[in-house]
Amino acid sequence: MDKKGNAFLRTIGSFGRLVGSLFSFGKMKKPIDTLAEEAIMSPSKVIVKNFFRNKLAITGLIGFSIMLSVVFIGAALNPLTILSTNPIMRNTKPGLGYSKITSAAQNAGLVQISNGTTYGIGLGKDGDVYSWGQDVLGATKIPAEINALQIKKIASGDRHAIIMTQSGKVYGWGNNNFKQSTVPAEIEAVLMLENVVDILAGDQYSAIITDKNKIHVWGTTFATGLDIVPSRYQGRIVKAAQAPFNIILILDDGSIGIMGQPQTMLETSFPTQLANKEVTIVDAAVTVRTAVVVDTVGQVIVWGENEHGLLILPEGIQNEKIVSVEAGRSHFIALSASGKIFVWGSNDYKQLEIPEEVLGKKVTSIAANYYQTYVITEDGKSYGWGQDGYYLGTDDLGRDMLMRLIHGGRVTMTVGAVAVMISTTIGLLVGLISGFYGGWIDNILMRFTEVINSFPFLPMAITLSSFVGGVLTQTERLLLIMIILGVISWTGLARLVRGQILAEREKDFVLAARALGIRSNVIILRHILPNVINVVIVSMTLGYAGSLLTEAGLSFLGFGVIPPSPSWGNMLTGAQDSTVITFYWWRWILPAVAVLIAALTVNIIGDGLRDAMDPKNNEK
Amino acid sequence: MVKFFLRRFFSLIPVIIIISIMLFGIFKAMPGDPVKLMIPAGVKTEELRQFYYDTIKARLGLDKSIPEQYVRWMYNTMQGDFGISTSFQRPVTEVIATPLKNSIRLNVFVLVFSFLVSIPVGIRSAVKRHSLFDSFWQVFSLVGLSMPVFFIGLIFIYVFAITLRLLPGGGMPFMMKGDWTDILAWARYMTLPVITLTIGSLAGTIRYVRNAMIEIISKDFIRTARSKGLSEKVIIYSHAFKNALIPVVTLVAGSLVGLFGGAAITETIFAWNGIGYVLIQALNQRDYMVVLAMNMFYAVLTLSANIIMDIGYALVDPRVKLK
Repeated sequence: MDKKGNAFLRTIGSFGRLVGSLFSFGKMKKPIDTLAEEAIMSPSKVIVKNFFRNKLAITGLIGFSIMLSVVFIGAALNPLTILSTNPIMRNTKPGLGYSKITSAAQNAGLVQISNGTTYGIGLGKDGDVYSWGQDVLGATKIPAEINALQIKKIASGDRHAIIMTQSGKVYGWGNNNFKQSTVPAEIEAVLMLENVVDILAGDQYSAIITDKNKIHVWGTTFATGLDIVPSRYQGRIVKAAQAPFNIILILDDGSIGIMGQPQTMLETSFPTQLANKEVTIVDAAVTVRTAVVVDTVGQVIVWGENEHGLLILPEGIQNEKIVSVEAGRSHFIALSASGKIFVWGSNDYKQLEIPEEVLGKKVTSIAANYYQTYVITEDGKSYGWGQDGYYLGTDDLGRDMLMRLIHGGRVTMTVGAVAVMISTTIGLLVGLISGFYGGWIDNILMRFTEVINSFPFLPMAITLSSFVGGVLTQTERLLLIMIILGVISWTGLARLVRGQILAEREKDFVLAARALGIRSNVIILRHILPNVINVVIVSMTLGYAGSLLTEAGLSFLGFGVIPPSPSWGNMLTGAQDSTVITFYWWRWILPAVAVLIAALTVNIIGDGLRDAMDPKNNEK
Repeated sequence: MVKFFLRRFFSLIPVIIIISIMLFGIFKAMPGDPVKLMIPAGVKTEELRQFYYDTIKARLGLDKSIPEQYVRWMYNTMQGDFGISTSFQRPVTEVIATPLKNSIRLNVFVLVFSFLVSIPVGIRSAVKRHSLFDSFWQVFSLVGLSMPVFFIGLIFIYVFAITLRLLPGGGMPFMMKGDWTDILAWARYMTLPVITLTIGSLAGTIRYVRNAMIEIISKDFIRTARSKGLSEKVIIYSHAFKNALIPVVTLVAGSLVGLFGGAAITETIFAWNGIGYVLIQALNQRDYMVVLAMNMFYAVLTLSANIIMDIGYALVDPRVKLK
């Protein structure tokens, strides 16, 4: 018993040393002359030496190691909460500099700034419109005829912008999916009788306020009902603040009206002092469902949904006379009469981190939207900060592709590795037992292998994983995918190992071992296994590349890892759409390239190992 | 030969029975009740629902015990009756007949093209090892082996269907006129899937042929042939390739099965109404009879490919005797 245990331990030990030596650089650097080399090199050392002589294999190993560490360290450092969706930032292309004002705009001396999701536009002193940041649907590409006009005001929605000329005409550009950047004919008709005094643009909608104190909204208003202006407000509106689902109206008596989606927190938590018209409001801003208003004496009132700390006013704000407020998606900025600014709310994208240069200066104008903040200071300079962009863009739900690639890689690589371990264990066991014992055991095992082998791999994997769907949690499902992949892919290795064992079994050293009376399981583990382990390692490596691809394929079809858990395969699920293929290249090329590189490096390593183990390569 | 064939054929019977029991077991163990999905939506009252449920269940034979169901299913299957598809409400054989034809259409071309390319390329690579030609195809096959097949498909769609607008990015030919233009229509729709699948399978086959050839070229009889002063052409094509045919036969049989099974992804990308595509549709619809028939088809295909492989060995290698 003791002896048997020792043999097993030694086998494991020698296997460990082999694997260990495969990945150590230090040992091979010892200068050895040719003769000594011939004399002392053990087979495993020869393999290591051969492997490290192969430049391609080393490149593959380094590439794979880098990928592995990026994926695992990255996933550990950036927890999964970052994967929360943010529909407004959907399908954003890779790029940075969302709030980096160009020098051309800076030199023009901006007087008004408005920003969209990934860009900003500014109105210069010269009456021209300037843009910066990353273009989305042509929102930064200001039409030449626009700059020929006398522009008075600009307003940017999420992906479109509108302007108002000195003569009260309204033009727009950018995303026009819902006709939000062209004034509809019925509103054009209204404008024969009314003059535009103010414009505003929100998420896929635009609005104008006319001198008859009326608001007219167009664009996508189906879900929000923003185009239906309550008659108690129409005709009394002097100013408005946009939010995705609501518009807050400042009425001619200084009171507040809310239109759009009914019964939101904006309405249900409406402050009594506003309801009782105790104060006269001069400015208002809304994030999504949280609003801030300023009254004539400079007092700030916030209400609505309590998120991102928006309801907690910053220190010192009540001592200042606030004159104007602006809101992003999750933050507020307020400007006081003395030129001081206050920011509060979410700092996820550093929206609240006021640049040093701004702190000492007197601010004359503020702007904020989405995740950016802008100020214009007394000396005419403009500053922007906040969200800088996405290195690799976002997907259809506005999730950061980089983070998803990292977390998806972790899932894909783990699933592949565990699946290969399972299939190797089964294949090795079946092959060893079958090859060594022969006879009826062999017969039964090989019949069984044939049965499993007759199941076509991909259809079977799809079928099995579709059965386990639905009823399981994400983790259980992941585990099951690994097991399914492992359980149906071991047959090749089992046959390979069996063949090797059949060849080894007939060799003299096994006969000698038998003659010495060594028990057969000891012979298998101690004498035969080390001779077939090379084949197993190569097959494991190449099998790993294969299971990376299989997982990707399965998840691509929707039968592998299912969202919201990312995997390189399921990140591509939406990519069959020709819109995605044409316009959102980063959504399908990046995950596919990630799979390609991972599989390629692993295949290169596998090839290198196989070449290194090929005795023909050792011939001098 | 005939004797071998018959013996091999009969040895398959237990394997097929085991496979069918396993498959049937898997399908019976599955969650979800397809009968519930078949009750017409308009049925409101509980009693009427129950009535429909029982009727449908009895019609499908699902009210019997599981072994009984198995025997019935096996009996019907052997007569070519694979049951009734729950989602199409038609016999399974009817449901998969056209897709099967479409898949065969696709795969015949892929098989022919990939061997037309890979055999000459593999031989040349092996003969001119480490030449520029060899290196190029080595890199090609390494990248091809590591490339997810959907990536190849998406790239082709992007380049040829979206950017150049030369070929349809997916779907099946329609509005057949019944004259020679039909061939053109089929060709247009088939080009991209065929190229995608061919590239996917080329990577493996080139490697395989090359390795087989290298193995043979290093054998002693080639050295003998060389020392006899035979021309290199004769050596390679007459002596070496004949011997390399054995692994190639394995490959043809193997890739036949691989193609049918692996085409599911490609067929989905190109919306090609083949069996892989139907399999996925059926799985999404929980149409188990179709899935079951499909898996049986694949299993039988694999097993028959093994027999064909054995016969192929005997044809190309006189040393192999079929007993």
